[in-house]
Amino acid sequence: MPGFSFLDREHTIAPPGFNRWRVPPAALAIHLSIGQAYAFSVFNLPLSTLRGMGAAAADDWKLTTIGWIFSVAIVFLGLSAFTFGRWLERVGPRRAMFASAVCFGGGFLVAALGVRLHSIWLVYLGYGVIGGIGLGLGYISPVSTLIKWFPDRPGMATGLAIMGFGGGAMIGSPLAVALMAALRTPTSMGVAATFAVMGLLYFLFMMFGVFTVRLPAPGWAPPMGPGAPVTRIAPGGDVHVDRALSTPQFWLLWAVLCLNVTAGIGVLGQASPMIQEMFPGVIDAGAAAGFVGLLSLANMVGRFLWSSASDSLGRRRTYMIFFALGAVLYAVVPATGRMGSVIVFVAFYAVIMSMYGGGFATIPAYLRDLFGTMHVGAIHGRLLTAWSLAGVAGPVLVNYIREYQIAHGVPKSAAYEVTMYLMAALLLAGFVANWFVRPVAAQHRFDRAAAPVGAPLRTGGR
Amino acid sequence: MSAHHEQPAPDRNGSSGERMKLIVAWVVVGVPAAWGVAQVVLKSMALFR
Repeated sequence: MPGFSFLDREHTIAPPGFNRWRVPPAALAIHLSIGQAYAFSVFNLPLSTLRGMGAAAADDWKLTTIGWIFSVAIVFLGLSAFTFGRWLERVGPRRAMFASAVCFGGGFLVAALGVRLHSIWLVYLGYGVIGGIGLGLGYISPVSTLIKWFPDRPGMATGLAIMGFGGGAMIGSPLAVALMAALRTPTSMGVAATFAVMGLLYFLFMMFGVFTVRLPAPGWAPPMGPGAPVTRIAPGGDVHVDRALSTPQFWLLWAVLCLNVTAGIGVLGQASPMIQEMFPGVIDAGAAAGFVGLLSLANMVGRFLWSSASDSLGRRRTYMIFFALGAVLYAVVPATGRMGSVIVFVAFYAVIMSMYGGGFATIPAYLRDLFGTMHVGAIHGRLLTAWSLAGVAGPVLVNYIREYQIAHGVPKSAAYEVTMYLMAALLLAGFVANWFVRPVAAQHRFDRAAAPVGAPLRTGGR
Repeated sequence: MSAHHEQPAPDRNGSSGERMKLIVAWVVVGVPAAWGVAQVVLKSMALFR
């Protein structure tokens, strides 16, 4: 397309002397932006009082109606990652990141119009559908590029990028609060203006990533001088994305991701009421907010630390640790509640959340080990459907079990115990799934010699 | 991955201009990330009071 040729794959190839450590900031610019989605709940209360200006009016949106905005966005994250993974491999990371920036920033603008006109459907379309597509595209777009730049430490590289998604809420939440306070007027809650400003800010920030990202030149190899850390894990033979779905390894990893996320996401969503109810009279709402913040921090740091550690531990062993240690911690957490030990409770949950984040960040490198680098971005996109399911299953499990317990006379402080034991059981099931993961059979590998002449193999830099 | 080096090892032999671009890139993403982490740490202090 004229005027947009800078987005082409061939214009993304790094010149000689390019420092590969400039690529992780490009990926971080995207992930720190789209990670804002985790902080969308900060808008829930203002959105529910738009007409009443701080107090719900009869025609204001209900919280249940508003809750669907985030759910739609996560569903479209999974759908777009699934759908556009192969397109990303064909056009390269820059065009995909640009599309992500347009969708995510544009989604905010459409949602701002929806708030201005008080049309919930326009908000669903804007932040949910258009923004959700931007989330999915942005989430997968830097992954295969980083794996190509860092073949000696793929876990660390993808951990750096995906860490940004965990940290995005830490920027998005206080930014939104500050903007709404600054843009509020006597006749407006400031939400529409905040959406518009955030849409523009995030678009510009993501464009920094678009302009910074580069693909390695064909034949490029990392420096291998003395002291250069090199992972012992060689990439698997390349497997075509469609073929990958017919291997047991793909579905075992799908189960691994789904179970790890289910066990974490439900508790993450209920962290604030949970700690208040488990420590009644000790933890108030302000302290509970601090607990939620600490869990976000552990989630973010765990993405980098665990994923980096997997380069030397091995991916399979790293997930064994996640599942075994996670199950033990979930099983003993109720005891810390009974002991009244807030510090131990918080410490255990911080470790659990670090492994929840680590599970997200280590999975692309696991895929690379098993399926090679050719279609790793597309395969990762398809694996993220596990996240979509876990995003629904986790909160439903936690909420349903808690309500059932309370309805049957269990005190609130003890109502989470069964949930914890269930989460431990889910992690043990994940341990079993991970146990069965073996290298992909040679028959599934992509045979370039058998591919029709001129057929797009697709991938880049090879 | 083939081992032939068509380019100089970029991590070790980068020019000063390249090093400056590298620093700028990390500052651009590092400053907002550090601000976000600081906000969380300040808020979490309430948990241990």
